[in-house]
Amino acid sequence: MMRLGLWIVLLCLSWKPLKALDQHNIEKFNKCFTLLTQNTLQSQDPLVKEVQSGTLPYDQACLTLLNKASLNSQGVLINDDFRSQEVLRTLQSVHQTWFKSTMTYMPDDAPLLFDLIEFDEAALFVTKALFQKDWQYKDILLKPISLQGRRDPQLKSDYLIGPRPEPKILKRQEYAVAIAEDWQDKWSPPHLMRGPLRGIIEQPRDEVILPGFSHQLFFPTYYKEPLDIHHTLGGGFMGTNSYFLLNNGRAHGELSDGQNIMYRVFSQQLVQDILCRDLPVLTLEDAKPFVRNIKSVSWANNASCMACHATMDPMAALLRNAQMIVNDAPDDQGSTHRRLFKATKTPPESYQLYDAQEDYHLTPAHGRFVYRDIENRFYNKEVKSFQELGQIMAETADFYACATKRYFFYLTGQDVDMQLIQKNSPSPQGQFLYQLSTQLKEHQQLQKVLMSIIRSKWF
Amino acid sequence: MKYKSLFLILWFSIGDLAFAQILINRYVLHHKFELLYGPSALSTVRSEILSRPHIFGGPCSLMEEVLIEKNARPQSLSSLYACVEGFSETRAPLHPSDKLTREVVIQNVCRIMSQNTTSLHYFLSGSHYFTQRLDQIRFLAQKFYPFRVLDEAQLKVLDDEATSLNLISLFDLPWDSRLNLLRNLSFLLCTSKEWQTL
Repeated sequence: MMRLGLWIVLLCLSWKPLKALDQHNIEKFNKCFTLLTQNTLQSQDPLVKEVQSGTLPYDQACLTLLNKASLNSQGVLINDDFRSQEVLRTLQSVHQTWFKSTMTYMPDDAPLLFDLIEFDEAALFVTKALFQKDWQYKDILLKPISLQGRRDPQLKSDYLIGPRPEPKILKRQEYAVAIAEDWQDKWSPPHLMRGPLRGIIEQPRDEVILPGFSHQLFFPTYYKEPLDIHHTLGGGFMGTNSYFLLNNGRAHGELSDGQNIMYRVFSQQLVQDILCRDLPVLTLEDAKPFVRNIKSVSWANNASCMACHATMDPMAALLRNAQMIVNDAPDDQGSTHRRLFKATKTPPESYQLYDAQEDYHLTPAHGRFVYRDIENRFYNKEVKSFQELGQIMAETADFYACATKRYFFYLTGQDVDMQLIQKNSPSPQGQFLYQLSTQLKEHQQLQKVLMSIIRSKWF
Repeated sequence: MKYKSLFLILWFSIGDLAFAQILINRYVLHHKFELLYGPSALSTVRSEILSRPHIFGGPCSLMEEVLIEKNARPQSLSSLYACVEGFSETRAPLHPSDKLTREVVIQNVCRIMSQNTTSLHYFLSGSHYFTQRLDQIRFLAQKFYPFRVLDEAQLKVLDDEATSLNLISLFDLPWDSRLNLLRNLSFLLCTSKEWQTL
């Protein structure tokens, strides 16, 4: 009787999958179509007929769809049609969610800002790496450029992009720039294009120059110094202005002092955004060599504190020359930017992290990547630029596991813990993602990761 | 009757046991409702679904906002994907997670769609060519499930449920005519969950 009951239950459970087997191809294609376009598949779609007739396997149909958003070597959509724009927009919105952008709501954020600087520039790097054949995944940490979206140059909006729906502020051709207490200059920066994304192109250098600025809003000191608002520090998205402005965690006008004031939030955010890890990533044993007895830096005395600070602080030291400044112009015309000081002072040769140093922000950028990845590999390497930081981050297992984990969530709805992405993981999904991320490190093609997930049994 | 209801629930939910399911986001819902109930459905979808990014998922596209000045006021020429709530909407979840709230809102939208004569007639368009009731039900069910083979047993269950499920009366839908039977069927199909999952 028990056995009969068991058979009935098994029959019930297997009814749906068996039925699904007949419909396998078209249902899978329907799923990937919906996920890649955010639209509904209709029976008259030419790909549907091919899939239904069995001449085209569903994964090939998905690949055809994905390839519609391919970009040429300049970063422009090769086939600029409605469907290509849908796929490009969808994947860009997927990549947007990878980057938290914690400083979106600065108390004094200026409405002009996001008509000048791409809010989702970091995501544009990943989208470009996915769709542009001559880009590799690690280029998002290496290319020394700034990016902008190519949209519709004919589409004119009369209002600025604001942080909230209301109030809307009229766009202007010319902006006031306060460069002295009682004197203003004019500035006519080009605005970013509006409309659906149709390409991802390089932001020209030295073209958008702010003529002057002040270091903060209250009791400002004015500087009549030209400032290239798209200057990048290299290292892919990490060195861009937009990533700094949205993630630096400090107030306008603050200067790094190498002790209390450092861009720690930036480091913490970077580790979360692109390595999918929360601090601490170090063990207490890893942190012990970084413990120092310095009275003015209380956390330096404690290994538990240093388990986070040993990763955060030397990475933040790379940004020591940066300062968040403001163009405090009247009538909501102001904007926030990044100033970079030239390194004019040399620290003593014996200088170590947290040593007191006058004009720390004027010393050459110099940091360290201190990190333990999910494969238990420990990194403790000196870096002098974001380019060098990008190179070493691109060696970690986490960089690849992070992308595969995120695509797996996007395509299957299953969120796999980073710690489970191991060769001998107790989770089959973890083993699968380990395999994908190891392959990604070799071939550097994000599209292959997407397709492997689409072909997998979890899709 | 009890067993048929159980059968229907199994049909629409057994997938939960076999696969992790993804719920379609607000943009896909928008397209689906437009396809099923026509342009008259869109104002409801906009106010009930599109304006709730954190329940229905789907990050927006900041630069697709296009506003022109008309009579000293902004007039929108923005696309469907433009942000309406500001920056936070660009980080709306990829996949909806608040299933309960979502279900309640969708039920409400389905009720409005099935009560509204224009949207109901849009949904029923083409069905009058069928003389057999089961063929008509198949045709309408296929609108929600275009890529699924529906067998006769499933259609009969749908027919029985549409005619006898007391659930409809909870939403004040009268059911004393043929049109009202189809109205019930529209509501029943619309509130079924599997067309909303991937």
